[in-house]
Amino acid sequence: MLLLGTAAGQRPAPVAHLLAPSTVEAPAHGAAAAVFTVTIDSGFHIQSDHPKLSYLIPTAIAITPAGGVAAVKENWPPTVDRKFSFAPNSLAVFEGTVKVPVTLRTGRPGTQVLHGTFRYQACNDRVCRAPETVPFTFQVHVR
Amino acid sequence: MLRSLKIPVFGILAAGLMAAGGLMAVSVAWAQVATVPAPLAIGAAAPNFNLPGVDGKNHQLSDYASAKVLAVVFECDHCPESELYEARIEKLYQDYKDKGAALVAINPDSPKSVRRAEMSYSDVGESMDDMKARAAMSHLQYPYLDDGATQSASLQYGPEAMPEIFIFDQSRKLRYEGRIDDNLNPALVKSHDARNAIDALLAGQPVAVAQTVASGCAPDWFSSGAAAVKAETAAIDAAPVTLTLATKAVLGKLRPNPTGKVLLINFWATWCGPCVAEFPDLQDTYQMFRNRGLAMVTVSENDPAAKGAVLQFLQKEHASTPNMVFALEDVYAMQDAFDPDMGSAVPYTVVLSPDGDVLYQEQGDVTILALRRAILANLPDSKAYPGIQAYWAANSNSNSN
Repeated sequence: MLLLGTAAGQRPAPVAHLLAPSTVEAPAHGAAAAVFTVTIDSGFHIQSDHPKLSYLIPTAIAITPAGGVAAVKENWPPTVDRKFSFAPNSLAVFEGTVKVPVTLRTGRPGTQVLHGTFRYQACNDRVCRAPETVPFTFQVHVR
Repeated sequence: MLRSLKIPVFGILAAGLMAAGGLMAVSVAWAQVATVPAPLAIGAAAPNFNLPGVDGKNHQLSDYASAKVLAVVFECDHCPESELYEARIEKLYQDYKDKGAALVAINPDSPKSVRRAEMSYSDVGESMDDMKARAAMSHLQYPYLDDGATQSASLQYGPEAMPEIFIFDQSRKLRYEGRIDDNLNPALVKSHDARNAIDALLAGQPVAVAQTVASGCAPDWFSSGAAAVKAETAAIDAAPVTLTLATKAVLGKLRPNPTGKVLLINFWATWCGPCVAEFPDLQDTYQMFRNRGLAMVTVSENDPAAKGAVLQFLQKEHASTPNMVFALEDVYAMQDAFDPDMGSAVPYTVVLSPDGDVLYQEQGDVTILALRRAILANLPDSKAYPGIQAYWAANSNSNSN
């Protein structure tokens, strides 16, 4: 029997972790990349941003526009094709450490604090954790 | 020789989920007339067979030409009488293999002709993989052959019940046909009919009692069984699929087991690959054992807003079990409401006794045979098959599959 989790009544420790950039320097009325780092605990994977199976929850970074700064594209790196005993075909997943540049469009100069969420759903080869939505903030300094 | 027999055809008169166990009412109409073979006549020559065995080899009649006596036993995996006779068949094989008497067992049944409801005393069905699992669990050394592909050999022998034994002399003329002994309970056996016949033939003597009546499950001949399987599948597919909200209060009441029955609970989610993959096996398990008193509930850990997608999945799987979906988005609070010790991941499957004791639990995909063996070991014993619970209790910790 494999028991995952923590002591009774406690929320389990997360198995995927997002590191947001502290500050992004960007030109006014232009574009810049905010690079996020996702680290997934060994033995676990999170789903692709475009999973092969419709029932799987895509990994996503969502950023709320503020002060003329908006995210226009998540540039997810290639996934790993992994075969699991529970699926007849391989699944597209992220494992280990993944860098995700997110393209930002900027407006006039100023400093903006952007809020966003990192949504993922993690599994190993036998069990799945519930989907998690993790909030984050970062600063964009538009020059 | 062929003869006609009335066989039951299953049809739904009324289908409805009962609140506690989700049992569906079915009726049996004795209507369809099917053709089944008559048993081989005493004195007839042994029909040839060429069949795959659980040992990975093909076996044919000529392979046993050197044996003075050949016993051909017809048995199957799912029949409780066959299960209760396995050890005796193995002992027959072991006791006589060095005395000139060979024994081979043939399974005439097939997944094509055995209904799930017929498997209520079994962890497996009738495929070759199933037969291998049974042979491994029960440590069967005798050749166990699969005739389920065509039933061609079995149709020539014509067993009426399983187990049924056909014993041939050295010229391969049938000298005994019928039961192995006279009591399902080995402690109460008074007449060792098969042993008596083998002993007589090895001694060059005539068999005193050449025919007895075998008792057990009739083979599921394709001529009738295939239609019965189709009818059963249609009934399961037509059963209503429901989904209710699982509040914290509902989950809290579920854990002590309010059903009064052995209760199988499966926590799952549509976003969980291992859950989705094992779901059909769990539903089949419910269909196998529900008429023996197994209750089952599925609990989806999906967000309540995904109720539509959950119901769609349940309908696709014809999940006629009582089904629930978490009423709150806070998965961990809901899990705690059921049992703070249940862990945080799915699938999570637990089998509870009528008193709420944990009989089996698994976080991660279940080993389906281990789950079924745990259920079988805890379903009530049967007056019709005394000792069947003990049989499964003895095998519930077997890791053979």
